[in-house]
Amino acid sequence: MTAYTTSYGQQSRLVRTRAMAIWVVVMFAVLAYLPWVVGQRAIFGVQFTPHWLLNTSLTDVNITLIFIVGGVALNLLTGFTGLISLGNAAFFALGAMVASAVGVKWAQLPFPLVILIAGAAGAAVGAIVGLPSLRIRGIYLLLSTMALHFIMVYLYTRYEYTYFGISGVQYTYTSAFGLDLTTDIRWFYFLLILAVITLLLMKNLLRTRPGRAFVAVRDHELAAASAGINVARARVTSFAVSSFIISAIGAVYVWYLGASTTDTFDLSIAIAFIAIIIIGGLGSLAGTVLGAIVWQLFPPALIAVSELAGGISPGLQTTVNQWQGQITHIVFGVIILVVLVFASTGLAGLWGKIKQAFVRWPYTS
Amino acid sequence: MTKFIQLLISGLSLGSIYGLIALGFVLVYKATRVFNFAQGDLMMVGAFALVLFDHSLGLPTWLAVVLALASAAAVGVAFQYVFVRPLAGQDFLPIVMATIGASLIIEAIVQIGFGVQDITYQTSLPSNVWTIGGVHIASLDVITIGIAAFCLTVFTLFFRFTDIGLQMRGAAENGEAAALSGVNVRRVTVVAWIVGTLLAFIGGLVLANTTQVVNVPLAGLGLLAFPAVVIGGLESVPGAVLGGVVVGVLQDLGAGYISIDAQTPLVYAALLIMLLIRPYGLFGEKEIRRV
Repeated sequence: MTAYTTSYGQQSRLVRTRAMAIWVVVMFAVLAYLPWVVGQRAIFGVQFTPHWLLNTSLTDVNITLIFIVGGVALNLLTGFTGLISLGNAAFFALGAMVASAVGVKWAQLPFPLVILIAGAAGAAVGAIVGLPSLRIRGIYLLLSTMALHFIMVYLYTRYEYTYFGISGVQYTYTSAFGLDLTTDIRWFYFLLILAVITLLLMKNLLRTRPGRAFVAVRDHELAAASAGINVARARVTSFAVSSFIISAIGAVYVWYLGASTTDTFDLSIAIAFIAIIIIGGLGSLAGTVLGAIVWQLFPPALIAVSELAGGISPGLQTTVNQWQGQITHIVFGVIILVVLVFASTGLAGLWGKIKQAFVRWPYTS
Repeated sequence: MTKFIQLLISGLSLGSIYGLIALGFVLVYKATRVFNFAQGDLMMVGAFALVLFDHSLGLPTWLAVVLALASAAAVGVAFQYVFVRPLAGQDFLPIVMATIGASLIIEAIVQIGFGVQDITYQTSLPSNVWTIGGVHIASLDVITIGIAAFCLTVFTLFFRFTDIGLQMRGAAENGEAAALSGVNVRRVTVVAWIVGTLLAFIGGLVLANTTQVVNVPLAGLGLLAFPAVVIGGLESVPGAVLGGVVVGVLQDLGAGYISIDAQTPLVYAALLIMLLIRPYGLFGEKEIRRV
């Protein structure tokens, strides 16, 4: 593996080296086989216990894919454009409202179209919410997106009670591109394709002028403006693109869950997204993927470890099972603090450091 | 009209508690520029400290209150050392995130310590209800408002007339200049955290006595301290209390005239309107940038 690129053509390619190409092929092969490993707990016919998978179910994997897409969108806004937002759950709620309106209640449009309409509504609201970001920063922007959260969730609650009743909105109609989304395996492939498309679009957006403008605005607003970047437009665009993706994936999320209530859009969802991008690394797409995996797969893994430990000490297993949520929160809290203090670039930054050390060895400082 | 006055009084009482939490938040923010997302959790810990000393240990109530307030200092200092100091000098987002992490940890520890069920706390304050012209006035509400007014007075005097109060104002105005003039900024920071936590604890004690139910979700009420400080003005001490009162009154009016689930969105709508027309709040200083 070469450490440096040698030509512009190579620099501008997505897959730069042959080693990388092999990795990509291997990764997709593993991902394509993953549902069978997780679903049947066997690799090429060799059975093993759920503990070996750290209790990961295919549902956990699918939710992780959804959170990867949402996290990438938030990272575009916070990590790459430097604008903080607590509005993720609000955009989920917006996506759910629009999707249930055009997909369940008043029309039964095809699922892909429903997703796009939910995204478009998100982009419109996102652009409006982005407007104050031209004037306000930091604490005020955090609070205005928090205001968006509570107002949007209230609207969702009223919408749900008025048109669907107290048991919540039910989403039954599921089929995309001729594929009936009835099993977790089918959902896995659908979500995997969505996640890969989102990541590729994001990667390309960030390599082109609008995306580099976002980063320039984040790094130095004045310098960006004097280099000819329309700062206002960059901010509003970033908000719109990010909100498009979050609302669209919000529609997918509620469809995958099958039903949504006010509790589906708790403020803790918005906080989870911020935690994911912080743990993974602000301004890193790969980091967001890592962050979402850690965030979603740790709780079942904790139970798996406690069940393994139960063989040694049954008391420990009962304690861990009883306080699973609390222990998870303590561990996440500690991870957040450790990342903030010791690795401000998150897991992606750590990974990059390790990789560089190997690639450049022995020329490392 | 009777209904309006009734809601106004209960709103004032609720708002006084928000005001206390908001006041603690503003003191810390002014002195250290730390946006403490966990301010509501500190309040919740205060309520649980009262439960611990009064119920679990069975101490006399006055001693339990004294011990709870004394433990506020320890909690505040510990909070600052563990969650805030390692991040000194970092940007807004990492610091907010650290306090969010702190709130996850604190809530989990309290739940493991006290269980997840609601705890009933029997107040020992007089709980009479007077009826004046059709309006019911609860003695607990009057006491709450009185405590908030007392705290505001004490801390206004503290900032105006004591050495450390003056140093805190100086450090808030310009940390470097204050340090050059011989102010021990580190000590000022610690004092700010102690005072901020103390106010959150006082809010928690009062809340435990008025709701008489103590649980972890009480911490969520602390989120309403943020609209309160923005409405009052981020930099302003009286503004924080006034903002808290505005939030409390808005909530009760919203619950009384619109619907119970409209009370929180109403407050945040007021916050948005405030950000649009007067982003520096009722008493704050202008510091908003334009593009």
